[in-house]
Amino acid sequence: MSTELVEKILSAGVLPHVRRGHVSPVKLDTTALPGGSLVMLLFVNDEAEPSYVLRTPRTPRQPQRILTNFNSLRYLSQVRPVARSVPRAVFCGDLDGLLTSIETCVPGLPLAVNLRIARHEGRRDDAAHLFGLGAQWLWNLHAATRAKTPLAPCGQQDAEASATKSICALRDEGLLTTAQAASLLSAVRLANGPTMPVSRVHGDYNPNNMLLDRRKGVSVIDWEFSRTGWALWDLFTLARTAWFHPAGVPEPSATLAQEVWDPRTPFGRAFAVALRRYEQAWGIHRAHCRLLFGVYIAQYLTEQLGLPPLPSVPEAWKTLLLAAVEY
Amino acid sequence: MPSKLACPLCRSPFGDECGEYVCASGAHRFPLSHGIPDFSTREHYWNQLTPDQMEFLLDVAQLRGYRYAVENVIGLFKDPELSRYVLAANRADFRAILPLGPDTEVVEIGAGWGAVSCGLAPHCRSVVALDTNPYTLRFVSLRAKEDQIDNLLLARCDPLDDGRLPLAEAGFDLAILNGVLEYVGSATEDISPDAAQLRGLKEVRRILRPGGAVYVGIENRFGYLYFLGTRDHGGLRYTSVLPRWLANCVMRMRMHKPYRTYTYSYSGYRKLLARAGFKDPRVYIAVPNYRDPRFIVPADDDRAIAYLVRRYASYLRKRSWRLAAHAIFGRAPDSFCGQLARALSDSFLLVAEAAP
Repeated sequence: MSTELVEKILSAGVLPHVRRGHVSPVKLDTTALPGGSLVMLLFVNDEAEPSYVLRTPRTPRQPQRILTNFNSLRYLSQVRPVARSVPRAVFCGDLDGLLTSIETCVPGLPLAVNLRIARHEGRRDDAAHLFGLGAQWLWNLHAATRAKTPLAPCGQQDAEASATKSICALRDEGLLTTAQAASLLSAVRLANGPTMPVSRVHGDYNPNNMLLDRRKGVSVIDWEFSRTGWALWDLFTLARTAWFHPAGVPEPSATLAQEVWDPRTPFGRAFAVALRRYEQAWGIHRAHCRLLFGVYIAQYLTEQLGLPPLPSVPEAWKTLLLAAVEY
Repeated sequence: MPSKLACPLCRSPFGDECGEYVCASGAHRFPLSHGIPDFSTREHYWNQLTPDQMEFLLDVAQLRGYRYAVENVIGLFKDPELSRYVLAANRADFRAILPLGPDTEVVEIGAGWGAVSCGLAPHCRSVVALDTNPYTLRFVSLRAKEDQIDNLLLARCDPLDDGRLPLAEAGFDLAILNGVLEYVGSATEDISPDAAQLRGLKEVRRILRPGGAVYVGIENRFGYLYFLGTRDHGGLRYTSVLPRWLANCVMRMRMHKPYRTYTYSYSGYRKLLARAGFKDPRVYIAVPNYRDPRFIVPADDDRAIAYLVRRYASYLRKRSWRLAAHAIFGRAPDSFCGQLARALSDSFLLVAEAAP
C-alpha cells in the first residue's frame, strides 16, 4: 500500500478520532451490563489493553456466540502461522464490581475502511493489493489447518444439501439451463470428494472483520461462525465483500462481474493469484474452482432472495453466475 | 443413556432388568433408590449439610421448588453464602474453555449440588452426573426436572479413590472433575494419596473416547491465600505449602489423622496428568477461584494476566495496598506478572486430551 494512501486513510475522517491508526479508547461501563452477563475481552495484535469486548446475557441457551468464538480462538492460538494474528481472549463471568470499567481501543483500521477509501479514490491497484493481503492470510490459515480426511464431521452433508437445493431453485427459475445446473451439481459432488480437502474456515471472512495495522499486518476478529468446512468459501466471501458487493453498496455493476476472471484487471490478477495457491498445493483444477464459485454465488443468491419464486435477479449477479459456469 | 453405564465391579454392561441394574454376568445387582441407580458398595458421605438437614431441604424442595428451598432452608443451618453458591449460574462458566459441542457426551464426577451438570446440559448431547451422596443426587434430580433438563442421567457411585466408575469404557468425550481431585485419596488408606489420584485419573482416562478430554478445577498448592493463613482441605493453616512429610506430622499431631488431601503446583498438575495418560494440558487461571470464577485467563498469556493484575490492583480497597501493587506491578514486565500468577494464583483450570 502506498504511503500516500496510508496518510489519506489516517486523515480521511472515515472513522471519527482517527489518530495514528487508532480509534480513541472507549470506556465500557461494566455497571451498565445486564445482570449475569458473559463477557469476553479480546486482545488484538499483542496490545496490552483489550481491543474489543463481546458480551451476552447468561441465559441457558444464549452464550453460544461467545463460546464458539472462544473455542475457535483457543484452537487458532495453536496454529502457528496465524496464532499471532488472531485475538487473544480472556473469558469473564459476572464482573460484579471487580472491574468497574474496561477501556477498549481499536488497534488499526478495519480493512473495509481502507478498501472504501481506495475505491473512492479510484485506486484499483491498491484495492486489489488489500484483497491480496486478506487472501494471503486466508491461505496461511487453510494450509495450516487442512484436514487429512476430506469428509471430517463438519456438516458437509448439510452444505451439500443446501447447495443442491439452491442450484435446483435457480434452474427452476430459469436462471440456469439444465446443463449449467448439472455442471454446478457435479462440482458440489466433487467438493465433497477427496480432491477437495476441508480446512478450518472463518465463516464470515469479510473486510469488516480484518484489521490492518501498518506494523503488524492483518489480524482477524469475529470467529463465532468458525468451523471446519470448504476452504474456498472463505475466499469467495472475501472476493464478494471486498470487491464485488461491499457492505453499503446497493448493487454491483455488471462490469465488475466481468472482471472477476479477467487477468488483465487488477482484481482479476489478485483473484487468480489467490486461487493459484489452492490449485497448486491441493491439486484443484481451475475449472473446478470456477464452478465452485458459481455454486457459492447460487447459494448466496438464494439465501438473500429466498426460495422460490425468486424476485428479479440483478443483471450483475446473473453475469457473475454465468461467468463461473460458462467456462 | 443407560448403555453408558457398566458394572463397576466386573465392567460388564447391564441387562434390562426392571427395578434394578443387573450386570451381564449376573453376579452383581444394584438397586434404584428414588429412581437413581445406586452403584455404591460402601458408605461414604460428604456434604456441607448433614443427612437430616438434607432430608428437610429435599422435603421443602419437593413442595416449593428447589430454588425456594435453597434460598430459605440452607440459611437455617449454614452460612447463607452457601445458597448463592448452590444457585450461582457462573459456576459452569468454565464451559467456555471446554471442547463442548452439541454432540459431546459429558460425565461429571462429583456433581455435588448439580450447578455444573445443569449448566452444561443445555450445551451438549448428554450429561451423566455421578456422586457418592444420595441426597444431593436427589436434589439434582429435582433441579433438573424444574429446569426442564432431560439429558441428564444421575448415578450414585463409590469415591474415585477406588478406581471403579460405573461407566462403560470409552463412552464419553469429556469428563469433569470440579473440586474433586484434591479429595481423591482421603476416602481410602490402602495407598498413598498421590497414587490414589493417579489411579483415579487413569480410571477417568479409561472411560474417555480417543481424543476425549478431562477438565480439572482445583486449587494451587502454593496459592497466595495459603501463605496468608487460609486453611486448606485438611482444616489446618499452612499445611498445603509445607513439605508433605511435615504436613503429615502436623496433621497427625493436631487432627489425629494423616494428611491426604494433596494439591499441586502449576507444573505438578501437568506432570500428574501426563503420568495418567493425558497430553498437553491447557492451563487457565481462575480469578478469584475455580469454584466461583469471574475471570478465566490462559495461564500462558502473560499480557492478559498483566492487564488483569494491573486493573485489579487499582480496585484494591486500601490505599496503601493500591500503592504497593502499583509499585510492584505498574512497571514490572508482563512476564513477571505471568510467572507470579502461575506460581501464586488461587486455583487452576486444566483441560487435557486423552493420549492415544
